[in-house]
Amino acid sequence: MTRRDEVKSAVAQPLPGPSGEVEAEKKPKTVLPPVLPRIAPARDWAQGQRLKAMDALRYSRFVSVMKGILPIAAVVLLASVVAYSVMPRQKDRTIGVQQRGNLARDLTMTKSSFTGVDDKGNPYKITFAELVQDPTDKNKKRASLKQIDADMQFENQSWVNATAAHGWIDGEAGILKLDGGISIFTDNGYQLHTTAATAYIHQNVIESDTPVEGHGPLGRFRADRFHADRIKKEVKLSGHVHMTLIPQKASKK
Amino acid sequence: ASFGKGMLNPNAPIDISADNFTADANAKTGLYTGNVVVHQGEVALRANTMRAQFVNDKPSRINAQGKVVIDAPSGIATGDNGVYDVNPRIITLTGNVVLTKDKNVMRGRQLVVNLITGLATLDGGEGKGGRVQALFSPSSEPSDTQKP
Repeated sequence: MTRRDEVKSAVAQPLPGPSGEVEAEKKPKTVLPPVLPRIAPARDWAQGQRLKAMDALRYSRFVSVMKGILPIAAVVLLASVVAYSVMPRQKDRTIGVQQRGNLARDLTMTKSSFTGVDDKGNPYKITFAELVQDPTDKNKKRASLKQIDADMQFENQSWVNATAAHGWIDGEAGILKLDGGISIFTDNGYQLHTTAATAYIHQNVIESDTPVEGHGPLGRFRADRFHADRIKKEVKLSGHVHMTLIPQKASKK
Repeated sequence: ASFGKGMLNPNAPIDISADNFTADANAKTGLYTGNVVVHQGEVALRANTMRAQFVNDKPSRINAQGKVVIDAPSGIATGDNGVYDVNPRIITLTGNVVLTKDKNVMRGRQLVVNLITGLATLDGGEGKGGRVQALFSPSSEPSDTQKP
């Protein structure tokens, strides 16, 4: 007698329902003449109970299968861990780079800084969150920058600090375009804020076509544009220039 | 002559507006050009160009050139050139100076106005006999005392 037959014979008799009566199988209702007494069917197995039994069978089969597979999987996993740790490392990681496609072509530097001195020996330091080299530039001297922070010191130990959200630099032409909000601070207490500006590094000039405002010991100022020339030590404000100066206290004459 | 009451707040900030401004860090000066107007309290100074000198980051002197006008509540004075000595709050106008107060007109060579006291001194200098010329217009409305 196979296992299936055993189960079938064990559950052949239907169990009585909650009201004590034996529940008939759910067949289309045929209306019996009221006169004839209803005859309860032989003890028939209810579908619910039969399903439970099938589940039990299925579960036990699942358990027995799992008993076989899991140990094998564990062994395989362990083996791969051991194999990986033993496997020799690739020195030049070329495989990794090629897999990522064009990353090899546009060089990205993050959290970097340049330090150096200008033609007069004044030290400068430029740090940025990210620099992405322009892949289309043959000379490899063009790049876009993010979160730029530049410090420069001058002959008389004075210094200037400039920050900008974004930038684009052409090292060959000596042009640095900044935008996304620029702030310039000087050690003698001046601040200047504008949206965008262009620095011509070789000419030591920085200018902006966007409104600029600032303040310092002299007072407050605003204008439509500004042009600063470090060699001439000259700052030009143009377009609706407005300044508020704080005079010395009046002296009685 | 009195140029009216002195400034209410002689230490008021100085507001300057212009078309352009150039700061020369070497010379510590600033050049304002194009419709230059300086306001301090209730007094205004206009000119084509003005050059400001700074000492210890404070404006110490403002030289104005070309159609210089002092515009104060009590009168208007015009001249070719002007200098505002900021600390003593004194404006000096030179060249074809004309001082107008209501309907009265005075001409001279140099006008010195003390913004604190409101005192103004007009002098004729050497030109045209070095004399001040004045034209006073009696007020047109008859005052109460002159009943026919």
